[in-house]
Amino acid sequence: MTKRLFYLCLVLLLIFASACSPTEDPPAAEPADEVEDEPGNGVEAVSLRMAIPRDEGSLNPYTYVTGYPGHNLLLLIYDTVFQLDENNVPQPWLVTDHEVDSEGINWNFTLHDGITWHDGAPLTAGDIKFSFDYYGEHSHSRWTNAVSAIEEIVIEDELNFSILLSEPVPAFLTNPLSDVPIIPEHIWQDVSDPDSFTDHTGSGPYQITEYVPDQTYRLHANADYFLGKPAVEEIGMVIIEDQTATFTALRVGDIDIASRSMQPELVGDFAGEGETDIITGPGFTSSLLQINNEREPFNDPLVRKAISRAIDIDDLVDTVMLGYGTAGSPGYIHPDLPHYNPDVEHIYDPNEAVTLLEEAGFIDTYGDHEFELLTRSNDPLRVRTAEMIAVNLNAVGINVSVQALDSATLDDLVWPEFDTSQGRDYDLSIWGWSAPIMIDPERLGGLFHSDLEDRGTLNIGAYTNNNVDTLTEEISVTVDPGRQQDIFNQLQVILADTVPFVTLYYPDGIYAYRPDTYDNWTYQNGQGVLNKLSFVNMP
Amino acid sequence: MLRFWGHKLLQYGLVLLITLVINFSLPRLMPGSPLELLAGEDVGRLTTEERQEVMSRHALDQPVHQQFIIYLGQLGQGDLGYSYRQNRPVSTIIWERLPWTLLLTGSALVLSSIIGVIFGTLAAWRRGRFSDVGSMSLFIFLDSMPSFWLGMILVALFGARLRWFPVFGARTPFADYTGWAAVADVLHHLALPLLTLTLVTIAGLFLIIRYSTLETLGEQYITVARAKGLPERLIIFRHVLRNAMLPGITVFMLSLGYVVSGTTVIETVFAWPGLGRLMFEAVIQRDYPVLQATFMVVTVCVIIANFVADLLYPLADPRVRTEGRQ
Repeated sequence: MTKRLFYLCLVLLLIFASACSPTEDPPAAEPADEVEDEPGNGVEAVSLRMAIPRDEGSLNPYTYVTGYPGHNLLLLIYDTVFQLDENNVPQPWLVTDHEVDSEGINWNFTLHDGITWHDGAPLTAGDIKFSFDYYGEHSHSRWTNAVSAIEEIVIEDELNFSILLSEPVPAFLTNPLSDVPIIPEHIWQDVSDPDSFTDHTGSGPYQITEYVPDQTYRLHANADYFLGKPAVEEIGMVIIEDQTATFTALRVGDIDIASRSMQPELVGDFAGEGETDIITGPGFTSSLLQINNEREPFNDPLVRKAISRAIDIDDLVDTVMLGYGTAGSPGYIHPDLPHYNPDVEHIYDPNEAVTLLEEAGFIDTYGDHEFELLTRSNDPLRVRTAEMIAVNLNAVGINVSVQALDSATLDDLVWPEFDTSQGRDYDLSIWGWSAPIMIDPERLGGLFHSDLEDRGTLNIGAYTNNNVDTLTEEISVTVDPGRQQDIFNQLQVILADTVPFVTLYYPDGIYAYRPDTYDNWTYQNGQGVLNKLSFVNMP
Repeated sequence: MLRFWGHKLLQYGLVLLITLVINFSLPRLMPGSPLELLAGEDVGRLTTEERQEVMSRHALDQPVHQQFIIYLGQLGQGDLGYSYRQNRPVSTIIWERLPWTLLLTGSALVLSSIIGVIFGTLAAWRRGRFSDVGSMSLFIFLDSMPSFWLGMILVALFGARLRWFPVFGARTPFADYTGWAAVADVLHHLALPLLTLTLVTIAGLFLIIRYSTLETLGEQYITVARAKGLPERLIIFRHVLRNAMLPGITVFMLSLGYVVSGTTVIETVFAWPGLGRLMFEAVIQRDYPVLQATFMVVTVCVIIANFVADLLYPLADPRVRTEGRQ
């Protein structure tokens, strides 16, 4: 009797799960119906669901949070004067014409006719001037610096304006013009504390119609967009922090694309399976072995060179990235970029590494010393990378142990207070920079200049080289393309020879999606599919 | 009697103050800085003045004791501060998350307690038999299983493969259900995390009830009851269980306090919008106001649960009542 009761309870327990489900079949996420292409109507999908990893605030220029995907999403709602095309060449977007004088100081622009804000008000030259002035006056980590070279903006009429620079900016069309969003003057004119201002009226192809903090965003196509109605009627964004949960949701069809790039080992499960597929392409984010150039023995360029020779980066790309990545160039610049110097190449030669270490007198002093290689514990690819590097370095006589730390602790050791002039406390660390720090040539000064107070704001290894200082200063004001390339070439040769850090690889972007819902993604080289061009055609 | 309660209140007040100090200083003792949250993604481009400006806007440039006084002042007015990460009042965020956590951990606690008590009693009664050894092995096996692993297996099987249950969240996004459809939707989402959490927590109460039942079964009054010829069912429910429950009540009340802290791991695996995950994210990102507030809420709940346990225990156990009078 009791035994039977016991088993009955056990069975009840096991079927408990089904008892909890509602009797009728739950309405699953409604599949997005394909609508037929009507002439003059660019709509190809009714609704698209996208997973993003975290809340991005009210998604205006002062409240968005992350560089990726935050900035990309921001630019679906707001427009920029120029827009980077698939190959990252800036193309006129809000403007039709532009002219620049020979010194690169005085720029004239003509706006597209008939552009309106989401609330119907016209977008005029006054809004452009207002935006750049506003960013200059209200500090923001990305915009304020970008507009610092703008001396004055003169409005000629509703559509014509000119920008006068205090000094030439070599990539002016890329940053600020293709990066800094234009905000409506009539909404922002009285806002004195932008950090707590939550309006998100823009002029972009999408407008936010619903925002449930920490859960979802609903974006609706701007039917009056000046370049025609965007291809997807509605984009629903769901915040899913956990990576595994994200890709499970994609597999069962709860979402149609994930903003985050996928781990290489998952590719097999999603590629060409039918319901899901992947888009891959080169990525301009970088994975580096960061070296503390200030600390002995790494202040000796010979030791740094030996470290570089000891690391088999092709093996890292094959083993850790399963081939989904490009091997690092010792000149830092990605091979797909125009300013890459093909003459510099990574050399893997453990024997030479041993010779270099002997020459530097390393073994006598540090043969028994154990160095720490730091890495972020929440990134399995980086942990694996660190472990393989430790093996490489141990093989040439540099004793290294891997320490996995949470990212805030790691940042605190490598880049305390995010201020390079505050010092640093590490030997070696796996590190990475985002795509903008690869594309924008001006950032090279940030990475390598030895003046940590003003110029070398990203020089977290405190690398010093007088020639590099001079060259990066020169490039920030050089507008002649020939001279620019010349400087870039020289810089990469010096970097390859003096090794401020070891560029390991550039991970590919791997985006899993459901082609049945929407299949018209545009892969912007190095930056992925989450951009305006995936929804709107170039003018 | 009044003195007794005055003493108790003083004791709880002291505990609360100490935890406030710890909650305040712990996040600040951790390496790392909330500057990136406060200043935005391109934090490396800030000048020294801009950096100081950001820190002073949030009073983070002041000495720690000064910050603590400001914090106590705000707290006194019921102000839990603004989240650095979400730029919203922390109290709003906690109020949004709290019901989800209570729903998940609360129902798991109730379910696992009921199952634990029933099976614990039955197992003790059938001591040494197959049903005893079998249920004990099962629950200990479940207990020793990492909850995230069990959760992932359940998601993979019932969510991804069989597609019986949703794989993330507490509601279907954008479905806009109302009324009973909304309730059904929530229950449907609740099933897998609830099952996981219940399965991994049964063992605690099961083992306690089993041991205390065994102990009670050896008491002389049980022998007397048996000798009187009382039916076995009556012995178990009237004489054994009522006495064996006492340690169970203590454990239950203590767990009740921790219900609000949620279960970070399970909330993460199922993307459940509860307090546990909020706390975890706040730790990772050094969101001081959220850390302080969530820790405080948990502390207060544990204290309240202890307090209620103090009140209720004499009702369950008359022996405590008499001792209290002396």
